[in-house]
Amino acid sequence: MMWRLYFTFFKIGAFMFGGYSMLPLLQRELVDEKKWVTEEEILNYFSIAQCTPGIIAVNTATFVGYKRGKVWGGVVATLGLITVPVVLISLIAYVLTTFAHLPIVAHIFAGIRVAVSALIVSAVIRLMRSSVTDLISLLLFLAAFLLMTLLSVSPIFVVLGAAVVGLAWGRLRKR
Amino acid sequence: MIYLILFWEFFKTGLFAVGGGLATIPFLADMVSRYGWITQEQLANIIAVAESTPGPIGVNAATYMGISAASEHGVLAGLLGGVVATLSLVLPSIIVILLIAGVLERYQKARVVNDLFAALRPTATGLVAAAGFSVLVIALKASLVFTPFSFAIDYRCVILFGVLVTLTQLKWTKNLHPGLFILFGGAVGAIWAL
Repeated sequence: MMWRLYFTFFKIGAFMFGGYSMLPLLQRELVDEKKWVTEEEILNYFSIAQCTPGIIAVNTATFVGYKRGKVWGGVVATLGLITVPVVLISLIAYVLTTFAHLPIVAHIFAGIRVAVSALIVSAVIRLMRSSVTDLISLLLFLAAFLLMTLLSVSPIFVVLGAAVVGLAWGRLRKR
Repeated sequence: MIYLILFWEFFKTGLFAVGGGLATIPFLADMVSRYGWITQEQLANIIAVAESTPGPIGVNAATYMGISAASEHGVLAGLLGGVVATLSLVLPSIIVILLIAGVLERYQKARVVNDLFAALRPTATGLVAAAGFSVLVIALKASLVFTPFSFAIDYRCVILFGVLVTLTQLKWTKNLHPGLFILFGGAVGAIWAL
């Protein structure tokens, strides 16, 4: 079971280009194919991962790994995630200066950047379907987006602010 | 010994860099100025490369710096340095998350927790949307030089973007592995000289 966990995150680590591009891969591997977690749970983990120390991708992997296999699962999932990056960078580190200046490399990465953007957009569309379900969630979504994009507010404060709103709203609704 | 220094420095970074891979960069810059394992320019390069290679930026940068720091003792020593740096970076978050996950498990049915997450989910979606937007802005520019009054949009990038987003929504192609989209993007980038 641990091998499957390791290998699943190995695959995710192999194809993610930047922290947020992990989401489409998580959705595909964990929610669609293996049904290990629900879409909601992934978002829950992601939210916490935004304000805890460390890298979002790593934190999310640890969460999911824990759900599957407790402490050991958390460790295995994290190690699986970082395997390809560590190996790849080790290889690249020794040839970095040689290849980085080639024009073709720049062109390839320009195309990759566009692809990553498209993947993130599709992940967001999918997330919106499950998380933005009423007016208040729409307002929270817009607030988070605008605060980050226009005012560059730190994600930690955005999440903490949302937590306060969430708790207050819960109290108000009870009455 | 270099490995202890790497462990200490990267453990600290992993503990205090909150909120995403880019948060590790100030710590890395500080390490560069204090230890000189790599130059400032090399740091900028590795950040650019780390954004483009598989894996979280922090992990990539830690591996590279760890290798650079320990390389003077040989290739194998360098590789060990990369592994030590990376493991040290992720260790604090593994510990913290496992603690939180344990607590969460006990209280997951609590009303308060559910209210909390109901608000956090759309918020996190908004944050991801914001991150995606900033990546998109960079991806669509013709050049990486940005002037305050204009930036040239490369329309070929816009077309590629439009095509790819459409493919992610169409019934026949939406379930393809994301890696394929990346390969496709890279190939088009090379062919079209984006």
